[in-house]
Amino acid sequence: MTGEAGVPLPPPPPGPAPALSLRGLTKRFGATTAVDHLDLDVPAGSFYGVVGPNGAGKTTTLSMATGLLRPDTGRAVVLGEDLWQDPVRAKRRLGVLPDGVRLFDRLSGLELVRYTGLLRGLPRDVVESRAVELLDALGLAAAGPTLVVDYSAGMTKKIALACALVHAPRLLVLDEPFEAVDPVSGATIREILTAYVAGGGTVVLSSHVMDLVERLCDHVAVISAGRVLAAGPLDAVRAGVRLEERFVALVGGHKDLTGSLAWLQTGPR
Amino acid sequence: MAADRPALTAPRPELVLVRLKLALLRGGLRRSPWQVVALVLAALAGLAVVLVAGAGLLALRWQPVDVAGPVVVVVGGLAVLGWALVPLVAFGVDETLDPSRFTTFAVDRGALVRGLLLAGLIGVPGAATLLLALATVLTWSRSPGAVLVAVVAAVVVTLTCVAASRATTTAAAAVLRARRTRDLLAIVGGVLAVAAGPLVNIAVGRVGGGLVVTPDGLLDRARSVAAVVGWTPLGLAWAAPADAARGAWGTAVLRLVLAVGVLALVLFAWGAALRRAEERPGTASRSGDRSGRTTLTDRLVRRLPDHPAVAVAQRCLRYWRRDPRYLVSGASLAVLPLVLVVVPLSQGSAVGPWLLAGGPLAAFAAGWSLHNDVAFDHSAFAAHVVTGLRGRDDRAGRVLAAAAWQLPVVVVLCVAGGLLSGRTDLLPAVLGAATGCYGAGLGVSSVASALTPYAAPPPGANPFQTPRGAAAATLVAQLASSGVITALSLPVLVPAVVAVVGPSWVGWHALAAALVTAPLWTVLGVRHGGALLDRRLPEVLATVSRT
Repeated sequence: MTGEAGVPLPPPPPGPAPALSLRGLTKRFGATTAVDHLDLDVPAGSFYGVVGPNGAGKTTTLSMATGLLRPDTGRAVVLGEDLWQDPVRAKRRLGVLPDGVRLFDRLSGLELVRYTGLLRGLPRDVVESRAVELLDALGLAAAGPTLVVDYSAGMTKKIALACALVHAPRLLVLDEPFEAVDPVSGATIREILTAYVAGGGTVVLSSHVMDLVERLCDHVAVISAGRVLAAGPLDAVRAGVRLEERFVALVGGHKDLTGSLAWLQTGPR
Repeated sequence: MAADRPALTAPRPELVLVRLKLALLRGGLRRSPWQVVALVLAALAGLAVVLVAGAGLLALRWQPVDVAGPVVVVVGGLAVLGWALVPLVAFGVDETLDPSRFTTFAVDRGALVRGLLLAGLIGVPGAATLLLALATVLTWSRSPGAVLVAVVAAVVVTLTCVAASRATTTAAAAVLRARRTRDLLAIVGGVLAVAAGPLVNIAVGRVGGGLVVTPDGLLDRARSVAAVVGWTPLGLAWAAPADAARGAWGTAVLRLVLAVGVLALVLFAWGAALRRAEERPGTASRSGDRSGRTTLTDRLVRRLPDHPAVAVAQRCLRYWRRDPRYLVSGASLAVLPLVLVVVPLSQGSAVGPWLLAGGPLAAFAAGWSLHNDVAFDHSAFAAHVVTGLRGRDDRAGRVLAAAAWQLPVVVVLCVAGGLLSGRTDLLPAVLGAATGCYGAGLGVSSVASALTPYAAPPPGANPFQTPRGAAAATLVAQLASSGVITALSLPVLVPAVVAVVGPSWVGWHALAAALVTAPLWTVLGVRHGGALLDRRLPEVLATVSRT
């Protein structure tokens, strides 16, 4: 696309400054290009879903947008601050739920949320009351003194979300927040996030569950092979059909399996 | 193994494992030139050992049996002991083929153990041991029967070595996983102390004998040690060919049979430890450990003002208590002075001078042991990255936590050493050397863990394993950091050594120098290491997450 030296990048859309603005983000791992000159604008106050097939570069993109992975080229502007120019300032109002990283799991749930708050430089009494409140809201109050290493996958996801929320960020970047979460907890998380957006916060989340994105988000971007195939308000992207149909049509690659894998139906030799 | 040809007979799982290990080795070498360098260096070192020791074994060919026998038994027994114990305290075992990866395949555990055993031979230590064991065949080439016994014994003893290293590390890891963390320190410390006893005894037996210049004294000592060791699991296989060369065929066969029995027992123990690890797969202490406990250091840290660095320190202190990897590292520190006590005691000689070295040595090891602290966080370090924690706060917190418990331990060791040895006049020298080394260690470690982090066992994994591909980076980082610590400690070490060999008042110079350099190196290290970490956050995170 654009973003090569000398080629002007597309201007940000008119209106209020976007909460997150990615320009020409590129990441190569050896010979493979995981993210390829990716541009994306997330309007402030939006509930933004990023969807894409496995290996599309969702996690790589979100990692570069949150300071976890240094891009080869490109910029990430978080609430007006250039993340890679001034990481400390940009991270101040950013909350992150990374996917596939461990937690300090020899701490109890309560200790972990407290720890994250203290790392953010919050005063101890504020951290204390917020941590208790968050655990309560997420249904983890009883598990507060248990070591995180003994948590189930869903509980771990929820405690990581509490860590992302403890400093009251204005932008939340959540990588697969609903993975391994049971329906009841999922409903709780949805409720918290919807209220957060209603209060003026911005959420960016990645998922490959189309139904969920369709129900929850007001904006959506379809990413494949490290590029944005379509992005914008939900209704504009899905263009009158269901998001899943639109997604398959955009991404392509659906295979007709008639006649193959016959041995799978006959059982072992 | 052409894919289109249906395999009529599936290859034996043992061979599949050996092939897998070779393929992984090849893959690793292709991916990183550093691994090639490490392998070449290791191979050269191994070759040197094989050539020197092999020449010795060949020379023993022309010595009487009652000379060659004890020497082979004592040295060989030490080698077996080394295989069994050294991975517990240093280096770890090469877990290229991590047994837990095979739990989902329907591999028979016997085949798994045999395959892992054969695969364990691949590598420099395995090859060197096999070559040297086979070199004893030359030593015993005195009759066809002796040669035959020696060949069998060499194979048995090599397999025993590999199996022993796996059995001890797997069993120790299982123990560490199973018990409440509070008890672990005592267990590990106890095991290592007990294990250190005989090792040191034998080593001292040899070294001490060497100090007595008469070769007869040395030989007498070796004979008396060999008479015992030759009937222990350590020496059975080594002693069998000597019996054969003497014509004592009954004893030779008996020892050989017992040696095979030892191998079978070790393999059985390994298999049992593997089964335990399989039954409680994954990670953690399922002890229902709750976090209510607070300790004195915890309470002290809590008194400190609200600051991210204090939060980091508090978290690190919890990890020193709850994480087996930290416990192992802490236990090794505690064992060091123990060894220094056991050495002279087993010799029956003056304990004094050794005790004086305990404090400074422990201080050096403690400061140095932090040089890869970030890697123990593994990808949980992402929390420090996304919260925008300043590098210097990260560094300062880790230093604070370590110093909170290590500095008192070091001072106690120094004072105890001085008092027990009756050389209180050397206390300033010893305290100066210890605190100086410790300060330099903290400073260098603060820079090193930002500059040259290398992959460490992930949380919940076997704390004794070495992650694949980390060998070269590990070696460089370890050597460089300990070298720099030594260099920075010279201002305290030189006067301290002068005080020991010359007038003891020079020790006050060491103490004075330490009071200046220790805080200086620590602060400089925290500051520079912090700035370095600020610039390299994503790169450090990528390195330490790579297991």
